[in-house]
Amino acid sequence: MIEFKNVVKQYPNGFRAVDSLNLQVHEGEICVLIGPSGCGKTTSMRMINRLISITSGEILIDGQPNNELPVEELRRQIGYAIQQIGLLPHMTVSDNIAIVPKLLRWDTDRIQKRVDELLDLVGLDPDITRDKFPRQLSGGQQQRVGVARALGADPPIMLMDEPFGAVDPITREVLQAEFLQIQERVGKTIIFVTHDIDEAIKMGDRIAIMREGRLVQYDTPDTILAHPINRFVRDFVGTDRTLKRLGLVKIRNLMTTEPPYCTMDSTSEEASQCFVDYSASSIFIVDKDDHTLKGWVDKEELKGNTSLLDAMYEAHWVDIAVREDATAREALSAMVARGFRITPVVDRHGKLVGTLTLKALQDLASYDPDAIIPENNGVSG
Amino acid sequence: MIGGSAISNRISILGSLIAAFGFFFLPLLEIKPNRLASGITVNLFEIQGDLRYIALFILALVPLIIAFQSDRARRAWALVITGNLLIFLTLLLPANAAIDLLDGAETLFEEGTQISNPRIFTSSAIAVGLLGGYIVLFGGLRDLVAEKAGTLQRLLASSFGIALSVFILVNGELDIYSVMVEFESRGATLGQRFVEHFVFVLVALAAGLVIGIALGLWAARDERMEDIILYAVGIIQTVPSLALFGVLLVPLARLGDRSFTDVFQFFIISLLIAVAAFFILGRIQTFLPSAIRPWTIITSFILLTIPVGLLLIMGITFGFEAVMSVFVDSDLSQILLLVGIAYAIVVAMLALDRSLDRAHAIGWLRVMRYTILAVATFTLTILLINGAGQVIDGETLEDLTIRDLGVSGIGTAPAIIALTLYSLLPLVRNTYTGLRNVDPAIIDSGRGMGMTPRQIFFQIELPLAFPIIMAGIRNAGISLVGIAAVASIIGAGALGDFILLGVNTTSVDLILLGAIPAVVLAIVLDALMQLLEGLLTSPGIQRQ
Repeated sequence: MIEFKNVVKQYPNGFRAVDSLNLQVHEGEICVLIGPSGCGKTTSMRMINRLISITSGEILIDGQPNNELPVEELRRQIGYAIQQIGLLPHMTVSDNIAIVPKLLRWDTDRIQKRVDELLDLVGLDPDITRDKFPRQLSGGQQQRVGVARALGADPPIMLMDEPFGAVDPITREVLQAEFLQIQERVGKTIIFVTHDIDEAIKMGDRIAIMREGRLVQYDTPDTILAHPINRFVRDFVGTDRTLKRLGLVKIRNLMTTEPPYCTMDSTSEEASQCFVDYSASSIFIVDKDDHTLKGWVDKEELKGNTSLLDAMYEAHWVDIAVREDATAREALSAMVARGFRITPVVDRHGKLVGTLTLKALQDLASYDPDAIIPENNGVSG
Repeated sequence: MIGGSAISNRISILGSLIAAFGFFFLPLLEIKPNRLASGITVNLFEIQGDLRYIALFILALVPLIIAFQSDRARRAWALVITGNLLIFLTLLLPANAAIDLLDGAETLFEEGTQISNPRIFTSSAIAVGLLGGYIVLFGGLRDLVAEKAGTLQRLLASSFGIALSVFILVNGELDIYSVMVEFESRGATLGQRFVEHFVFVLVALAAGLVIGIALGLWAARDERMEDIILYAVGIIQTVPSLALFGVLLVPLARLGDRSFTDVFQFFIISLLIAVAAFFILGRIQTFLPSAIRPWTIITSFILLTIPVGLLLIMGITFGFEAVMSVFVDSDLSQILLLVGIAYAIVVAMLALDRSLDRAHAIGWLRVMRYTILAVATFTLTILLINGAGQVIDGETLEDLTIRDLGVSGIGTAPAIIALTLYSLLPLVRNTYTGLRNVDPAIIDSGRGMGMTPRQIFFQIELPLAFPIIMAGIRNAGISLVGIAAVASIIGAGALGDFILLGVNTTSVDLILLGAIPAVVLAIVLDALMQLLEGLLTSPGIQRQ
C-alpha cells in the first residue's frame, strides 16, 4: 500500500506543484492519476521513488516512509515505465529487461530465465526478440519491452507515466487490454499517470483527479462518472459521461437470462405455443443441437405462413445479436444502428444466452450507481 | 534512367581524362645534373622515342571505353582493375624509363654542364596520373558498392594497386627516383623522426583525451561552467601555433630553471588555495549579488588552472620524454613487446567483453581478462619507469630541476604542450555534445530503475556518447599529425625537420620525404581509430 500524507512539493520560486496531497493506493490496485497538464500528477508519481524530493509531508510504502532506504535501493524495488519508453538503444532487449535484476546482483541463470518469462508474459517470442536492439522493434513492441523491463525484478509496486502514450490509438487499445490481463496475473500496486480520461476509465481501479497540485476527487471510475464532485470534474470527464459509464458495464450483468426461443426444427404449432408461453411478440430461432442463434420470427408473420422456416427472418448471429462480454455502450450502439428495442445476447460461439432491452440500458444510464455491480471495473476477461 | 550513372560511370570518365591529359601535356620526369641545379623535363612521348611508354597513355584512355559498358558488375571490376593498374604502372614505367634517361645523361645537357650525381625527379604528369588512376578506381569502387560487394572484395579492390606499389617500392624498383635516393641516405633519421612524430601525436592525444573528456564532462554537467570552458578551448584553437610556441617559450624556460622541490611546494600551496577558494566561493554563491556571481566562478576557475596547469605541463612533458626514451633507447624487441602488449589489451578487452555478454556464467573468462590487464599494465609501468629513470638520469632530489624532467623553453616541452592544447577543442566539444545529446528520457529511466550516477555515466551516457567522442578523437588525432610537423620550428624534431629543410633548400624530394610518412601516419591512425570505433560501438546505435 502507498500512502501520501500531506505531501507538498514546493519549488524555490514558491510554486507549489503538489499541495497537501493525501491519497491511499490499495494493494494490488491500479490507481490512475489524471488531470490537466501542470496539475502535479507526474510530480506526485515521481516523489514516490524520489526522482523528485518531497518538500514536506511523507509517503509511506507499506507503512514505511520512503526516505528511509538509500534512494537507489528504493528505486530498484519499484518498477518504472515512462512514455518515451527509455529503452537503452545500445543494449539488446534482454539486457534492457535485465537491468534491475543485474543491479540487484541476481545470478545469470536466474536473470536469463526471468527475461524469457517476461518476454512471454508481454506476448513477445523470446527466441526472436531476446537479442534484438530496440531500434529493430516496432513502437508497440518497444512499449511491451518497456513494461517487461518495469516488471524485471518483480517489484510489488509499479510507476507508469503514460506508458502507452507513444503508439497509435489502435496499438494503444491492444496494449491496454494486454496489460490488464497481465495485471490480473501479477496483481501489482500500480500508479498510472495519464491525461486521457478514456484510458483512466479503462485502466483504473480508482481514479485520482488532480488540479493545480490538489486532489479533487478520488474514487472508482463509475462513481466519478455518476457523481462528479464538482463542475471541474464533470467538465473533465466530458459531457458523454453517461456513455462512458455504459462502457464500464458488461451486458452479461444487464440481460435477462431466459430468452424466448424455439429450435429450427419446430413445427409452426410448436412455435405458436412458444409465443403463448413467453407472451412475447417475437421469438428467436436457434439450432436444435448447439443452440446457435439462427434468426427470429414475429407473431404476425407466423400467422400467415404454414411453415416456421417460411415465416422466419434468417440471419447470421453476428448481424443481429450482441455478445455477452460486450459493454452496455457497445450494445446501445448496435441497437440504435439496427433499430432494435430488444436484442438477443449470445456467447462467443453464437449460442443464445439471453436478451437485452433498450429500456434496461436507459434505466442504467439514469440510475444510481451504487446499485450497479460493474464487473471488474471494465476489465475485459 | 537515361543519363543516370547507371548507364555510364562519369567519375571514371573524369579520371581517365585527367590522367590522359596529364600524360599528354605535362612533363613526366625531370633530370637534373645534380640535386639542386635546374634540370630538363621529359614528356611521356619524348622518352628515348621508345613506344613502350605510350602504353601508359593508352591505358589512361581505356576507362573511357569501359565506363560506357552497361553491365554494372563487369564495369565495376574492369574499372577497378584498370584504376589499380594505372596507379601501379604510373609509378613503375617511368622508373624504367628513368634508368635509360640516367644512362644517357651526358648527351642530354649542354656542353660544359657539370654532371655530378645526376638525379631523376618525378614531375607533374606522375602526380596527375596517380590522381586520375585513383579517380578511376574510386568510380569503380562506387559501382562495386552499388553492386553490394562484400567488405573483403571491396578491401581487395581498393588496395591491390597500392599493395603492388608497396611491393615494387620494397623491391627497389623505384630507387631511381630522387626521393628514394634521399631516403637511402636519410632512412635511419627518417625512422627516428617518424617515431618522434608518432609519439608526439600519441602523448598529446592521450593527455588531451584525459583533460578534454574531463572538461567536456564538466561543461555538460555544470551550466555555470559550460560557456567558460567552451570559450576557453575555442580561443586556444584560434591562436596560431607559432604564436603559441612563442607564448610558451619564456614561462617554460623560467620554469625549467627552478628546482623540483620549490615547484612542488608552490604546486601544493596553490592547489590548496585554489580548492579552498573554489569551495568557499561555491558555498557563498547564493549570498552574493547576481552581478558579481559570474566573476567569482571565473576567479576560482583561473585559480584552479594554476596548479592543475603546472601539474599537466610537468606531467605531459615528463610523460612524453619517458615514452620517447622507451621508444628511442630500446631495441626493436622492446618496441615489439610494447606493440604486443597494446594489442593484447585491446584483444583481451574486446574478445572477453563479447564472450562475457554471451556466456554469462563463465567466471574464468573474467579472471583471464583481469589477469591479462594486470600483467599488461604492470609491464607497461615497468617500461615507463625505466624510461622515466633514463630521463632523470640519476639526479638526486636536491639537484633535480624541472629542466631535468624535460621542461625547457624550446624543444619538446612547448611542442607537446601546444599539441595537447590544440587537441582540446574537438575533444571537449565532442564530449560535451555527445553527453548533451543523450536523450534525457533514457537517463530518467536509468535513474528511475535505481542506477547510481556512476552507473548512469558508464552504462548509459558514455556508450551513447561514444561515437561522437570517438569522432572528436579522430579529428584531433589527424589534425595533430599536421600540427606536429610545425613543431620542428622550435627544435622539437619530428617529420617537420625534413619538410623545413626541403622548403629552405627548395628541394621537393625532401618535402615529400617528410610529408608522405605524415600522410601515411594520418591515414593509418584514422583507419585504426575507425576500426576501434566500430568494434566498441554497440550495433544498436551504429549507423546503418
